[in-house]
Amino acid sequence: MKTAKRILIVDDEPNIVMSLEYLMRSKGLDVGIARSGTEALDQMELEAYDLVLLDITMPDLDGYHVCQTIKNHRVWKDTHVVFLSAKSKQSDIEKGMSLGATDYIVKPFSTKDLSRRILEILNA
Amino acid sequence: MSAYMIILITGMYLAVLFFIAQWGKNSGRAFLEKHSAIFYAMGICVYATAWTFYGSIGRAATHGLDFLAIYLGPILFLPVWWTVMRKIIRISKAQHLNSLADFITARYGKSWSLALLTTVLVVMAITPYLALQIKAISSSANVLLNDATAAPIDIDLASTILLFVFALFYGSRFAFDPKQRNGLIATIAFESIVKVVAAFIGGAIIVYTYFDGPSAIYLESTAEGLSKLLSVQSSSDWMLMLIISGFAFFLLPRQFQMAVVSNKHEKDLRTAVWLVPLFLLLMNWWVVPIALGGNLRLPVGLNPDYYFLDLALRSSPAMAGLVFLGGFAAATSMIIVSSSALASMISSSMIMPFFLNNRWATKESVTPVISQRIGLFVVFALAFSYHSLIVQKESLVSIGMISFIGIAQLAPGFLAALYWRHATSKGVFAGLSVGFILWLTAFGVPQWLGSRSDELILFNIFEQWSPLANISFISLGLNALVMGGISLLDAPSRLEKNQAEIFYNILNIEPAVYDNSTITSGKITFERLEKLMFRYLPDELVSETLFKRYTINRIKPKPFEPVPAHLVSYAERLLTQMMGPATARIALHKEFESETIDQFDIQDILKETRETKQLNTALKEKTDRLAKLTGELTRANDQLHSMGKLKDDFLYTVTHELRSPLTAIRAQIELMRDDEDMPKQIREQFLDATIGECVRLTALISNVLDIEKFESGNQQLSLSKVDLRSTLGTILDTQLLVAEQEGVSIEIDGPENVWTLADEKRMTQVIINLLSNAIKYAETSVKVCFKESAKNWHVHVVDDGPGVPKDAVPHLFKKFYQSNDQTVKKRVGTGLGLAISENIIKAHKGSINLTKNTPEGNTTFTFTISKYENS
Repeated sequence: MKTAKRILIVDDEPNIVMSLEYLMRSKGLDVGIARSGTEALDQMELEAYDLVLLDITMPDLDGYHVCQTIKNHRVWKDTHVVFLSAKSKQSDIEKGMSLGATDYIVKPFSTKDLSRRILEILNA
Repeated sequence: MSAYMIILITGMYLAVLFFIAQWGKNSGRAFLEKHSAIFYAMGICVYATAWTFYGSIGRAATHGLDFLAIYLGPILFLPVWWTVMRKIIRISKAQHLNSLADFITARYGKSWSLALLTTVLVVMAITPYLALQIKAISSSANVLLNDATAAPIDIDLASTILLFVFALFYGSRFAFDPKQRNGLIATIAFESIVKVVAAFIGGAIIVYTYFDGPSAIYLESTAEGLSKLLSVQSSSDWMLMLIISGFAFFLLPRQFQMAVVSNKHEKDLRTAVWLVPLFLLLMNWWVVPIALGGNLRLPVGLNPDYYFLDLALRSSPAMAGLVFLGGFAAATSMIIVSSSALASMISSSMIMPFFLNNRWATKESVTPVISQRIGLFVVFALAFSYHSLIVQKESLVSIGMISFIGIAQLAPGFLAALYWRHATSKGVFAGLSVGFILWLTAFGVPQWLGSRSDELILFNIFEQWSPLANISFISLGLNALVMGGISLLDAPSRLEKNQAEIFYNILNIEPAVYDNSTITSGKITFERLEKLMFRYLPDELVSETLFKRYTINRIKPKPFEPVPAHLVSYAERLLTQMMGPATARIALHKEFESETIDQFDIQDILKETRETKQLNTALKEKTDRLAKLTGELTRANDQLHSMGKLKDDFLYTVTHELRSPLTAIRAQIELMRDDEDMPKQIREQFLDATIGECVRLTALISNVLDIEKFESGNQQLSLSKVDLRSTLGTILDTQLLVAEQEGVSIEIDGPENVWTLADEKRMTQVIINLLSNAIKYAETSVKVCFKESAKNWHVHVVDDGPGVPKDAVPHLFKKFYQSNDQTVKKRVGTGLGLAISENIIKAHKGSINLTKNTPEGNTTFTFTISKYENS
């Protein structure tokens, strides 16, 4: 019996979190939620995740820092990080990818496209 | 004093002169340059010769105060002298003129005959004067010897030979070698100091030690009936001497050498104008006391010219040595400078043309330097012969005066050269001839034949005037009349006309324009020109001047091609420096293949100068304006740049802010569309959220538009009488609701009515912004206070929250300040609220600030707005 993959949604916009949570659950994933960078790292401490869907502009700690911390962490370093951000400049995307992210998706996104890319990564 | 002692003193002094000349030529050059004004003025003081040093006392002892005219003349002329000198210096530098004869010849058509006449006159007038200096040396030495022992060698001959050698070294290359010239300037300046020290300090010592001071001398003289020596005896002579000395100060060859040729900077004239009179004053300070004292104490029969030396001898041997050296310095400086000036004239107008017209003359046989040396020999030979053959009974002053009158004959032509454009070569030649012949008959011939001048009564027209005054007046008057008359009848040549314009207008001609203009014309190939230059100029001078010119003007000389006209002009000026204008012209024109006689027009130069000046002024104005514009542009660009960056940041932030609600809306709608089985409860939640995000978008868009309106200045306020208390009242209900949810209380304090003139809608916006921020950050309570000052309302909005982080304070009122390259949202970040509030308050001419920010609470935002006034 295959256990469900676990995904951590990190975003400070409640309505976005709400839709993402619904979307991911409907695809059969286990969902964790964090509303800021520090909250995300706290969640990581508590449970193991297969993928972190990460916003960049957030209170306290930004997404780049979170990604960096994950990728430098002894245990978490193999966790996939997918940025989901309204920052659409090429330099922002390059910076995100250079930090070890698996993908970078620009807001607003298509729900179909987003779920396809997430599932592809998780099933690879 | 023994003869050996005298020989030792003079020998050592001459050695010192050589040493100083060598120093000035080499290591002292920087010092000379630094103090050029002082050296220049001291050089001009070559005016004071042995005639001043000894002769003034002799004259004062016999004729009273009339000697003073010789020094008062130049001093009175000095203000004029300055302006005239500036002109002469400019002309001489521009045209490379090196002597008085050059100057006159250059102006009057470069006529060789005029050069010759001038030279003959100057040599005849100055040679006795030179001989006089030699005589002063031997006479003063004889006074020192006191007939004790005969000198083993002829001191005056020995001195003359040594001075000749000195002049050969430092005078013969004077015209074109600045190093040699420096050596000479240093020497002459040194000699001036020696003579003034001897005259002033030596004089003072004698007056105060040998006598009991000047007043004692005057008292005793009056008692002895010598008071007539305290007045001027012949007023006509006195006036004459005044004028003649004034002219001489311009026209004496040695003055031209030191004041014109040796001038390095025009501004040095300013120092000379006060230093030269001061020098002459010091030189003559003790003349009258010593003359009177000599008459009182010295035995009758002594030559009064040497009273100074006789008295010094009676004081102490050291004093005698000092005074003797002073006189020696005065004599030698005059001999050195005058001889080189005369040699230059003789060389230019006699020796060079002579060799030029002889085919056998090659480069080896005659160069300007050799010619100059021959000239020097001629001058020394003439002077020494005159000194030894024609033994003079005349006093020093009268020989000097006759010289002065001779030289003054040049004045009409000279002054006309500067100030009268119609004067012509023929006019000046005729006038000068008349004056010269009259002078010769009256003084020259008798002087050269050794007879006394004042025995001639040939020209006594004005009975009450002295013969001297009569002859001077007649000769100078006729000279000027003839010059003027013939000039008016004569038609000047084109060259003369042009030179007249240049001389007349020199102060208005830009040196650079002159330097590059064509003043001569005629075709000559590079090969022939270079050959000519190498023949007459020292090799190193050719490369320093002509070849340098090639480089500067980017000329590529091809041997058989014609030289550009302006370069031919330049070459002529270089030749002029070596051999005077007339001879240079002959030398150059002989080499011309074909001659188009002087087709240049001086009006072009003047026009070009005017245009250059105008252009320069215009250019300068333009440059200044451009510099200013550039500065403004740079500033504007910087401003635009930072504004552009702000705009970019703003746009990026706005789009970013727009993306968040859009993201939520799109995701929710897509989910609702794709998931038909979505529970109704969730669907309704999504729909409410979508509506909420739309409201947020609308608010954001209107905020952005507001900001844009205020910042572009398009925002119009609709002002009316507004009570801020009631404005607050209208929104209070909604805010109280929010506050209640957050667990925050709101307190309001202040007067019943807060009247102001404002845009009510905008003020509502400000109050909502501040109040909702305060509620957001407050722990438990928010307070709104209305305070009153003389003219303003101060509205304080206070919360008990943690305060604004220090690093955020400077950016508080900036749009989306937190987005500035930062990805971390700060809690205080209100996006556009505070920025809009500030814009609104500023539009009302008020102010808004964070007035209190402490971690213990009482974070206070205050805005100030003027009270409503009933007017």
